[in-house]
Amino acid sequence: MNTLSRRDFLKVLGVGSTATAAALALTACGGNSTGGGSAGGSTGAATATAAPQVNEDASVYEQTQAAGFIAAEVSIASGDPASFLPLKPAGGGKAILNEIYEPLCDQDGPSGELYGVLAKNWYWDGDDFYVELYDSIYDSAKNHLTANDVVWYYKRMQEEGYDDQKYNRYFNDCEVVSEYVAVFHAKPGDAGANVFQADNNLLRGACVVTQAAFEAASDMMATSPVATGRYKLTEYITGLSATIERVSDDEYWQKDLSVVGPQHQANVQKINYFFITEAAQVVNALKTGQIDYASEISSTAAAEFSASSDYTVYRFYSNRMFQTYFNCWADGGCPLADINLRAAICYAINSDDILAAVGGEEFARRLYEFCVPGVQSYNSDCESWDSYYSKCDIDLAKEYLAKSSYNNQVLKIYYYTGEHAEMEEGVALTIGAALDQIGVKYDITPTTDADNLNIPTNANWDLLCTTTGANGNALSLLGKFSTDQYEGGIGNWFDDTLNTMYKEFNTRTGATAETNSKFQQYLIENFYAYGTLEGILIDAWRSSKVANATTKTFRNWTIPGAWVYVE
Amino acid sequence: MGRYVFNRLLWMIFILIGVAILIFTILYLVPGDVSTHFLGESATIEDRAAFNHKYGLDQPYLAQLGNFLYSLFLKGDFGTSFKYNTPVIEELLVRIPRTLFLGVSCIVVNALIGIPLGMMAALHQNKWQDTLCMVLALLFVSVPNFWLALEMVDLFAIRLGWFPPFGIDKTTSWVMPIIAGSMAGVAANARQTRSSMLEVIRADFITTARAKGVDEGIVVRRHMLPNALIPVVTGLGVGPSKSIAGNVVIERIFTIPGVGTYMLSGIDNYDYPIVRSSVVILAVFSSLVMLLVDIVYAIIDPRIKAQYSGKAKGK
Repeated sequence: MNTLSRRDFLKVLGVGSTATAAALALTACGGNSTGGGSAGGSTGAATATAAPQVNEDASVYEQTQAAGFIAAEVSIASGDPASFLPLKPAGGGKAILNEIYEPLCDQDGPSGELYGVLAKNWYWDGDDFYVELYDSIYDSAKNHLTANDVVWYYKRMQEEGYDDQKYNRYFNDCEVVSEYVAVFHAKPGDAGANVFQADNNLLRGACVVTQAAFEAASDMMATSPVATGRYKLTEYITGLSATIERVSDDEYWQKDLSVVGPQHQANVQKINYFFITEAAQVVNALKTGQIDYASEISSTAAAEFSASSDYTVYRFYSNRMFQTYFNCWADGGCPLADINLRAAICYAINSDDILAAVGGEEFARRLYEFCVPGVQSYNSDCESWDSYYSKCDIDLAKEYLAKSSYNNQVLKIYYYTGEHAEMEEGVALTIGAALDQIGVKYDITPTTDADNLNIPTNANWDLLCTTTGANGNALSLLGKFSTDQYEGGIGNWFDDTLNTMYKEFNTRTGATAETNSKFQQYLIENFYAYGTLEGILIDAWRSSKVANATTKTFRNWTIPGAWVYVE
Repeated sequence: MGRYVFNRLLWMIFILIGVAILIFTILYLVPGDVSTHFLGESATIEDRAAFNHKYGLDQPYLAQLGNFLYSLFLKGDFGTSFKYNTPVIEELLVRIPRTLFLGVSCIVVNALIGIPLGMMAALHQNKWQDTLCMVLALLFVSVPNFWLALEMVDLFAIRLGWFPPFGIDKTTSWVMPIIAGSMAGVAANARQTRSSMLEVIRADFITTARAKGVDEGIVVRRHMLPNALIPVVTGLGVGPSKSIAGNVVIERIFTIPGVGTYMLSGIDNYDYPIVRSSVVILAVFSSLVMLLVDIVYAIIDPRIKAQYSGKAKGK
């Protein structure tokens, strides 16, 4: 080995470090700037909104339809899709994929009604589901999309194991009927044909692409999507940002813009998405003008933005329900298998206290049944029912406790530490305080989102405070009572009547306000669970750039293409 | 020397297998149901069973471990992300340069600020310069980097508007992450340099050099510094692996899409392939750097080199 003096070594080390740093700088800084640095210091009019607003205003849809003006650019914070694979749209940044890809149908935000996107018509004949496509659909590579592509897409999705419950769960097979008509053969009865919104599950959310474009892509379109939508991906820096640009009206296949729903409008030329990982940095980016819109900001940040005329703050009900389940597994020795103990707890809980614990009406609203008011089958009569939701009665709670078999066991309360951890904690602590009042012992444990849940016959918890999002109907909220999804239901109820009621509700004609109310009353009579709150979300945007950003998808996702921009 | 390197490389294989088994076992023992996390609340029992079967999560521990080790070490397959359905290694290859750039830059800043600070303290031992330098070092090492990062964002991005608060798309985007990520290292280097310099400063060869009338600047640069820097160089050598593992928080705060944020997203999402692969890659990197440091030791320290040579001759 040649000798190297220490001085020479230090020189080499210095030069080497500098060279390495320079080389890495070139690599790491790879990718052009995605822009997004919109100028700060806006002078827009103040339109801060203090009171909660519900995202049920259909006039917003009409307003964006009539906007006409196309803005140059907007920058927003977003989740990271990490892959643009159309067979399984990723969760985090799905809003971006929704701007690039198109499904057969989509759901209107305010009403929840389906409207056609690629599909011109669709109908059931009792057993099968027919979809007729527009005959003029082309993707951005000029491939013509026909029924062959639709059938290929769904079969490929199934083959790849990316079904995501949209097809395989309800349908046996699909085939081409004619160039623009495809048929989906539903599974019989409870498995598909009779299931409420099986067609919705099939039609919406899919990212249908042409077989030719998909097979031409080297990576299954994971980084280079070619689709039929109003926007094209023009730049993508993995883990940091994505830029999509508007397809001109001439290039876009749908010439009749009057049938284009909010999800597929394009009121801005260029959208920059930044995948900001830290919530505080989203707010900072809005303050510094790097982004123009931030969703789900904290109440502290909202107060700050509300005080400035440069920003608009918008609060809306999230359709996300906070709930508490009781573990009723008798064979597992769970104390709450005793209905009297459950009744005691329900009557000890005060909904108003829970609301106060999470910050009051600026952050949530209290519930009167195991359902949020925004869902289609909600029956507002429940607000006048004589139940534990409207009556906190400590004396009655103590009476039930005396009748119960409670023997000073320590009840295990778990709450989830997901994105709503602070509110979950507030709910759990308030329930704990209620138990204190009637002399029931407990301990409270935070848990991550997959712990202790969905494990059949699990006796390790007694009360579980968690959240569920409702997607327009009560089924997603009530799904945990179904034995099909959880053996015995998530609370180990093992109640055949409950399961039968769920199945009746989950049919094409069964999901009504009446059947929902019947279900809710059964839950109340048996003290099976407690729906505590519906959360409020807060968005904020720069008033100088965006005039109205309240238009959202049925799932409350942002649709920057449909916003109204300042001219 | 060659034999030594060969032996170290051989040991590296066992270390990596050990790390792989350890991280696999830790993740295997994490409570919770992965399929529920990915399929959502409305998934049926059958859906969840199909998911577990697809990813082999329904197999016993030893079978899962065997498959993992076989894929990793014999097929070079780091697995596919549960969430993103993309090969983990592809994503890591894109992210590693960014993490390395941040880590190496932090080390360069550490050296550029920490070493002069330590030198100044040692050369002015027990004077106000020494006190100032050590107070600064204490301050730097005491301030948590996430707190410093957020305060810097508030001051330099929001109030002064000098730097963007996040991202990597501009050169200026790197300034705050590098400073926030290097402060603790600056303090460590300053203290190490001071301590090493003080050991050398009274050595016989320094006294001899001064007695011969050598200029004080030359004494410091040519005689004190090279001898005092050996332990500092060791610290700098370990720096890259420490920086890569330690800058996870900095990456997260400044939205730097590196290995750290990828690993955190894997942890958040129960995406075991991401976490396992990131840990194994970090272990590979750390092992290689430590090997390199040991080889460099032999190059710069004649005593260590003589040891290797002696062993070789003896055999």
